[in-house]
Amino acid sequence: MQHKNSIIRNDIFLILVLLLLSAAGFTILLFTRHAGKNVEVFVDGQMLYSYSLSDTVNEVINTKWGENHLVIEEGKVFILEADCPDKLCVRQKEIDKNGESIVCLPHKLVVSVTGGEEREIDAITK
Amino acid sequence: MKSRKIILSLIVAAVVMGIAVIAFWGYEKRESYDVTETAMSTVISYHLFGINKKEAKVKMAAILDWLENEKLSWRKEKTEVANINEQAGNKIKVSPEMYGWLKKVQAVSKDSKGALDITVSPLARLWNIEGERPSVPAVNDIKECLKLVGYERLEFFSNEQIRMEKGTGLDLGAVGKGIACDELTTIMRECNVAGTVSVGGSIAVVGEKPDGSAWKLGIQDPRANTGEAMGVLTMNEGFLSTSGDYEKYFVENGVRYHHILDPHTGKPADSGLTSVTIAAGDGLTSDALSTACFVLGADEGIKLAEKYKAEAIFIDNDRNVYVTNGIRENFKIIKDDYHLEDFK
Repeated sequence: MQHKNSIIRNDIFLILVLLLLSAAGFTILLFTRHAGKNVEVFVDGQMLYSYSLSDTVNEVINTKWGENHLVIEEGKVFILEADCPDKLCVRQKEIDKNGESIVCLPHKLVVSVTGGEEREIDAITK
Repeated sequence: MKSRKIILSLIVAAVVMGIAVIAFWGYEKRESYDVTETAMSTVISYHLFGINKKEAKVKMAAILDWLENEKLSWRKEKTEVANINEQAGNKIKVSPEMYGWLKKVQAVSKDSKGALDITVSPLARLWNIEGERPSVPAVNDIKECLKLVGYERLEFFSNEQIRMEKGTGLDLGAVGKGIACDELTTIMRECNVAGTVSVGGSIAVVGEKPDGSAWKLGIQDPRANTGEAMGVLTMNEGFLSTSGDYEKYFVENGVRYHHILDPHTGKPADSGLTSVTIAAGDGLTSDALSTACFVLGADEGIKLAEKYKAEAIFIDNDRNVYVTNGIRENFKIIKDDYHLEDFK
């Protein structure tokens, strides 16, 4: 009888350990998925470059349609210069939060931040 | 004994897998899917929640493609709008959706006494504000153009037939983003997805946010960088559009010439406002009203908004902000140089 009980106890122990391990595993998975702060550069829908938000980047992105000078500095992303006609990309706010983007329509360029801190507003009018 | 152990292991495996599925499901449900891309010659930002968010996004992008390449663009050949322009002078049958859109816009044109006009295309092409080197056209050229502009030049008949006078050009630029918002929300509902989608700054809000809070929508500061809000409006469901003098413009001899033309003067609207934001029950109406109210100015604009049971935020040249009663409690100014005022 005692033998049987100890097996049940061991089984329960094993179950608990496995459950705990799996829970811990998922927590780590969720946490790490959230922590990756990246800057992704797309041209015409294709991702061409990916940087970490903590990198220091001073790079001219060449597209078929023209150039955009991308800067990542102290965790903030902006376009310093561009040879597009409207210069709207240069006049965009610096970005640093998950889901924020800078767009240059004439050059079909999209620079997006993924992961990291959530932004306070869901969308902004234009 | 052995079989009991096997059963036990199976149970444990099932529970672990169950946790995995629930954790993944919970994660997928609560995490937003954020994508920004270009379509319809503008910026589209998806901010979606729910299990089917990725599938919904693919369908939504297909709808935008359809709208641009088959329906709305006057720049592309073979769209329905291009065909209507080509057939100017003839009575033609249009698609049921086009008929519906045009009728709705025409109603706002009438109610705003032509402040909104989708036949403004010849004038827009003359100013060419989106072009490479825009300049102020000659007064006589504007006069000539105005002869071709007028919403009453577009007539409606039964059986989804219309006739546009010869020389008239249809341009749905003022309402295309709103139409897109309407079509996109249909997909979001079908896919059981909540979120916001912005089509060039016209925003549709669908469903409940997973954390239960209201959606927070920024109102662009008309005199700051794109993406900087001057205020935040919280809302649960609906459509938001802003028209302002800041998005597309050029400066000549110190004067700012923006892209919202007053169909009566043939020049950029000069009503003392820098932007108008409208919250309405559908995207087309909110787009149409924001343009019309921007041209009309605050005093006339608020009457028009009331007629459509829409809410409005007017910002004038002196950074005074006027907000209609229905959303006043939900709107907060976040920049010190803007101040809330009462309507006169």
